[in-house]
Amino acid sequence: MKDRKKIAAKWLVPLCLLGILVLFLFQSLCFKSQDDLLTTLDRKLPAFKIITVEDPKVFLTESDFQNRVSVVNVWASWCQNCSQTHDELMQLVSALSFQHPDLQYADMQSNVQMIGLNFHDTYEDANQFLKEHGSPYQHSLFDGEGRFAMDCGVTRIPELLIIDHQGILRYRYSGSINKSLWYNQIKPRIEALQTEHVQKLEQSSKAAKQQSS
Amino acid sequence: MDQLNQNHIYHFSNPKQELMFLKLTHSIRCAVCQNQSIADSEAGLAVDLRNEVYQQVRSNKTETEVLAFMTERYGDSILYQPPFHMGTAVLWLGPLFLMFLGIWVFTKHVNLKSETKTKTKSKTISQKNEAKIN
Repeated sequence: MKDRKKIAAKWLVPLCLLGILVLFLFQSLCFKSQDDLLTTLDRKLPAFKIITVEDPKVFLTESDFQNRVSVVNVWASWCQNCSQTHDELMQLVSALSFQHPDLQYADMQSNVQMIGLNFHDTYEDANQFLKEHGSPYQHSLFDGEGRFAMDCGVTRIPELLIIDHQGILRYRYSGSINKSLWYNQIKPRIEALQTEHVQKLEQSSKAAKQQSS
Repeated sequence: MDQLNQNHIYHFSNPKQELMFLKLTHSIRCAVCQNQSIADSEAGLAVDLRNEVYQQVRSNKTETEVLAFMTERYGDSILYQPPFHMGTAVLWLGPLFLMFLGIWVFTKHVNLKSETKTKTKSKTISQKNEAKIN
């Protein structure tokens, strides 16, 4: 009996350690981690001037990302996996009464704009794609060489970025978007940025009042 | 195989730049591949980053500037050798800790064994002596 107990005690610790190790490895194997993507957030995007897919004469600059929340979807005509996100955004745009040219949530005061970022495409293919499948975007930037995508830290597409009122990259999601993801992950973040902005405005107006009085 | 020499031809104004380019491209991880540097991979992102490194090296950027450019956009995980800070402390010190733990356990184990051996030896000797005296 004593020997048995001794043997059990001897093996208990290594077995527990092994169990922890197996759990840890399984967890890293099964759950896709977005953590590595989060390290590059919260920085201001550099200045840019990029033509749009819809019209090569129309430019967008960093000032177009000011004073509103921008939801940026990175896509390409050759990207098979992007079609789900595209369909989803098309439905959302109509369902949420995003309205061109200034997309607006019915339940929100400030603007939200849906921007496309076309990635490593030819201009003709990108333009053709939007004509054929419709566009959920207010504008879609044409980033043929992926230079702007590099500044945004895009590694693979589809990828969704959220940029705040100051033009600061605040969130990214790598992968296809579906309805539950939109309502659970994306929309709350947009709303949080809206309230953050409203609070900031209130604070600054309060400070201005205090100064004047 | 090194893909560098196969597809693109990079021209440098001096060998120092070339060496720097080679060193940098081998120390930057291709973020979308499994354990390949951007020098080894033909993935779209790797090609982009390689060209970017080339442009920056050509325009006389320093090594730290290029690496800062990369980590700012893609995070520390883009580097094969992550920098030491609070977040990576476990990564750097963990193995060292495990090594010392191993040494400690090993020496303890060996000491224990040799102690019991000497004890049993001295016991048998004393028993023999007792037997002699008797």
